[in-house]
Amino acid sequence: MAEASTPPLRHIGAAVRGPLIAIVLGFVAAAVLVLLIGKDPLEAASALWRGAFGTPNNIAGTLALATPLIFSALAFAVAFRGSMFNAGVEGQLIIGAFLSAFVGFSFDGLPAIVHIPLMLGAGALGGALWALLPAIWRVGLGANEIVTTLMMNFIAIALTDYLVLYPFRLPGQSGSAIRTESVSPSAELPSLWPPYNVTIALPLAIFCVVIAWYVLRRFVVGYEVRMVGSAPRFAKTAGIPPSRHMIGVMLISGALAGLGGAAQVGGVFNAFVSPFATGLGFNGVLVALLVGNAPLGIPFAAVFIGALQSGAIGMELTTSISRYLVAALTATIIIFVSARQFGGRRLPWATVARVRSREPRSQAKGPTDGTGA
Amino acid sequence: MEILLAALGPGLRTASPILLAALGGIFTQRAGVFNIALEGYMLVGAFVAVVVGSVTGSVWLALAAALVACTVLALLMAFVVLSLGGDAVVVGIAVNLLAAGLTAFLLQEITDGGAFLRTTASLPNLELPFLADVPILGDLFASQGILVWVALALVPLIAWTLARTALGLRMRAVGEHPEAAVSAGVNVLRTQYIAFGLCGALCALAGAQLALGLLSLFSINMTAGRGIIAFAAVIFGAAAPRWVALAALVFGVADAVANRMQAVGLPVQFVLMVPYVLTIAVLLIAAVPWRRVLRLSGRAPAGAEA
Amino acid sequence: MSADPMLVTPAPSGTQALQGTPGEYALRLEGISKSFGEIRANDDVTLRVRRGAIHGVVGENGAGKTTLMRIAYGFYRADAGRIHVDDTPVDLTSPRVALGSGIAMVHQHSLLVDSLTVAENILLATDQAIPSFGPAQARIREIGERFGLAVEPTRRVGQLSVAGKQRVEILKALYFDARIVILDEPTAVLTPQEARGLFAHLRTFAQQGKTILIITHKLPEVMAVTTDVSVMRAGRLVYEARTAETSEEAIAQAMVGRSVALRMHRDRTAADGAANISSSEPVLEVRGLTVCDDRAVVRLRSVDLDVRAGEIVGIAAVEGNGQSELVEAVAGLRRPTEGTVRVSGQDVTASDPRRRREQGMRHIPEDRLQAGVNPSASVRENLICGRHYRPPLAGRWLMRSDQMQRYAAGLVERFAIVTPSASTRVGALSGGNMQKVVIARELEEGARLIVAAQPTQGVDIGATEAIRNELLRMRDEGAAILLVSSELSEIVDLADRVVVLFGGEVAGRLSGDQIEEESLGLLMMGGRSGSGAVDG
Repeated sequence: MAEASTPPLRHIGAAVRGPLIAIVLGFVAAAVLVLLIGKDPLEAASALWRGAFGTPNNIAGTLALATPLIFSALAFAVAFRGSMFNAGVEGQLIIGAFLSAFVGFSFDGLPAIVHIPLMLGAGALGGALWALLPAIWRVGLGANEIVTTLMMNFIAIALTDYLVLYPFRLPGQSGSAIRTESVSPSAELPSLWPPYNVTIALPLAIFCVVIAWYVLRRFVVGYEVRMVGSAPRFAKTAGIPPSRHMIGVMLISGALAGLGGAAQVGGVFNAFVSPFATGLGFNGVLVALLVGNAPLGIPFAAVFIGALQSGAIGMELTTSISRYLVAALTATIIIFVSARQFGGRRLPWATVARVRSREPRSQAKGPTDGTGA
Repeated sequence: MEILLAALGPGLRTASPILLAALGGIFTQRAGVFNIALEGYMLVGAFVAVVVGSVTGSVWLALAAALVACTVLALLMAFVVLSLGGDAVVVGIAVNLLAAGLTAFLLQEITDGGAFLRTTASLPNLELPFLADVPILGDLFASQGILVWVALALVPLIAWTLARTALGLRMRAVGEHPEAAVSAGVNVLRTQYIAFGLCGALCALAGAQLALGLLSLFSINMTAGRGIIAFAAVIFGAAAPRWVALAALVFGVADAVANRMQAVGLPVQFVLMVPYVLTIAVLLIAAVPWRRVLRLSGRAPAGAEA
Repeated sequence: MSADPMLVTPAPSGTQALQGTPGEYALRLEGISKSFGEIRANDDVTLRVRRGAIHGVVGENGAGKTTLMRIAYGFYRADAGRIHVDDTPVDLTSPRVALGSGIAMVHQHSLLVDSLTVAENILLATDQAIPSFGPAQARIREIGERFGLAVEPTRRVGQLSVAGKQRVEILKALYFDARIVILDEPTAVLTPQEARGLFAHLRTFAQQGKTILIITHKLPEVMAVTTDVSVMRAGRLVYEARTAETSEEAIAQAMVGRSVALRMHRDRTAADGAANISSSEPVLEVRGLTVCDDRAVVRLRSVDLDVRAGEIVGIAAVEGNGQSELVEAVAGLRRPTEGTVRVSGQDVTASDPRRRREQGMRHIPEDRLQAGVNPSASVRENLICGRHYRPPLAGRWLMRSDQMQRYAAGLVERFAIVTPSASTRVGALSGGNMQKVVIARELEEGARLIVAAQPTQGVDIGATEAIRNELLRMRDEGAAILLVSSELSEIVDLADRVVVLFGGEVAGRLSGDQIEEESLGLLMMGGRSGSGAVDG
């Protein structure tokens, strides 16, 4: 468990081993698939690499894809540490994006130094509000937040679709992608690396990661969240009120997701478009799962997944291997990771009915796996 | 509303994949697994059905192939979740993504970059001409696909299985109190595997119905969230066959109504929200401690005895 | 009357094997060994059970008796050894196979599915693919009447009482014609009177040719009902005898392996305690407390209670009569529907645990694994919880790790917690040491009110002594202690006053000389105490 002193290299090694093995296994499976369709896996892999890192344009693409993933991964991870399974990152991201776009195009003539924080703040607020409802339902009524957040995703999509298609539609469009009016130039996030789309959102994301890590480790409230997350009844008995922390953690989670949406609006689209997220939220969840919800690992995993997605496009162009291979690859990696993991940090309630060993502690675990909730 | 009435027949047809998948989800839910991979199973079922259908031309081979494929997929997921200790929700999300990616990938390889695959195979209807002129029943039943009939017949069958067979008893015990099941000699793992297998098979039918029931084609990500709606129906109905079926039908009809509205130009999004809002509402209503509320407001008698 | 605590005579050396001829044994477990990782739960154990016997298997927690019995009923497979049922070798690969061989188990916490009916629960073990419910229900009724265990087969198990569920488990064993019935701590959830009823049933079964095995750690029970007794310690069978030919002391000695003070004599505690009870404001004041459980069923009704500084008030009740809800309401884990709770004069009825802890309350919860400790956190992180936000362990926002380490190390030493280090995950510790972590954290200097629920449950004798001594010490230093224990002897030994709960209401209040097991048991069962209730 996170102790006050810096972990020795050994700890990091042990933590990284599981994901690395899963990644290798995933690539092996993908290679087999490529062979089956009669193409060369090595060529595919190198095309993938070049697509991700081969040219400055590609590198920028990778980073641009990684940035929102960091936000949504962190959102999921923070909630998870507080014992909440936030399957609604996607929806919170979308609502936050819309709200930030609204703030972006509703005001003109504000100085960027005011407009940008306002827009980002609106994004965070939107996401937090969208997460607040499931949080209250869970804490107040015990309603399963996996299901409620999952449902809220689709409600968010439908709601924003409506808003974009009707009240806030930009006249004179047709076709499959509809957008609102563009945000003011003062709300556009400045690029770190012109002319590419790598904006200040990236360092902002990393900053959030570091804050999350430090707070969990050293702050009183971070300790309390960790205790609530790993043993809620214990926490309550020892004087830490779980409800407050569970709601707080969901609010922060939603805010981070919304922030990610705002970053997409301000940095990539400069408007709200429908369809908007197409999996950014869920891919963020996968990123978090890849590193076992450890904040510090998230940027690396996000770059990795971002690289895969960026590389997929390039791979498709040069080798005409469908880009969807990468989606299958990512999913396979996660399956391998989850097979090894999740012995450590379980949710307070299980998603699978398992037999719990009833041996007294001194006799350790029985042959029926004692990994119950 | 004429829209509503005109939507009943097509509504049943649209709802049937959701109904089939939801019926499959009942098994895993009862066995104690939070299985949100219905979407992935359905997609794989649809894909395999269309591919085999277009290669062999036989809709029955297509159906059989889909059954095999989805059952295998479900059992593989069962292996990861049950025997390797993976979290069911996490693996479920991954399986959905895997299904989407894999089917899209293979589709593009087969069609050389295309977006959909057509087939001549299609599921036959069960024609009941004597119903054709009966007012509401005619719209609903005069000419419905056979899988729709299968789905409707399965509802009481599954209810009976859960209530009266040893397998049903075991599943209910395993899902609610696995230690009790073990002490009664029930093989928990085997029961849960069987639940996964049955779920996969039913979702195969769901996917086949989706792809071959009306249009006979497969397109990328054609399930478009129907599996999640099916899961919502399972939760809505608390894994009880008749309520789940009711929910699936309601959600399906909402989908059909939405299509009609869209054709007429009305904003459709709020109708699309219906399944999700209803599911949340049901969850919340079920979660309210009604006895306490009624007692505190002075309406109910002062509590039952311990 | 002050007397020394009874000392036990030295244990007989070696094992007195039960003599008997083959053919008279219903069950033979020979050379059984079983390890879990590095821990040898059973080490070459040989247990032979005579037909028609009521055979007690005794031992402390961790002695291996539960493992051995689980092997006997097919839940575990032994690493080595042979099992014979009626001289036929059997391979018990599962509970179902064991049931087929005639061995059934009645669990301490009944393993029944609440939403299924009695008949459905029993039929879970059947082999028929489509069970015939009608004949089954008829058979259940018939067996119920024959053995005096009548339960309606169509009732949902969830609606039955704890004793009722135990009856169902026994019915299940009889339904499948079990010839060997194993009972795991069967009286843990029963009153003394209900236990006597169970023993009568067991004797009937034995007379009808059934063989009974009882796992227990209650010596009086062993002497009362068993015909043979085997003692296990540290995974080995260390002592066997016919019950008629041995004594509580001999058995206890074999269980522990050293001289032990069998009972802490009441007088010592009463004499020391009386001097310290202050006559000022009670530290804990409970008035008209009414508490409902999660299903809005009333569990506690209009209970009044006081605990003063320097006294131990014991709550005597059979499981399920409201004591858990009382503890939860006092500790702040459950809101009462009516009534007030005052700690140190402050009304805390609606407050969360933190507020009560600020008033000086500490709580040792009943559920050690879920509420007492955080198994995935380190010993250190467990020990500091509750004061982790106050100086010197923390500043306004940040925690001070060097202070935490010092504090934790001090507690580990003082309470002799056996752990590789303060960074070890608490989940890896033994039950007794886990409870020591809880005690170390909660029995803080200066705690004014200690709510201790089942503080020595599942803890071995050595640690139990230490824990009880700590409670007495806190009391002597002026703390008010509310002690809830299902161990009647613990209440009798430690409490200055006793409040008996039955059916969620106060059934009696006893103090001083009135406190003894027979009267308490009677009141716990709803009967009238001979000496009448005295308000304390």
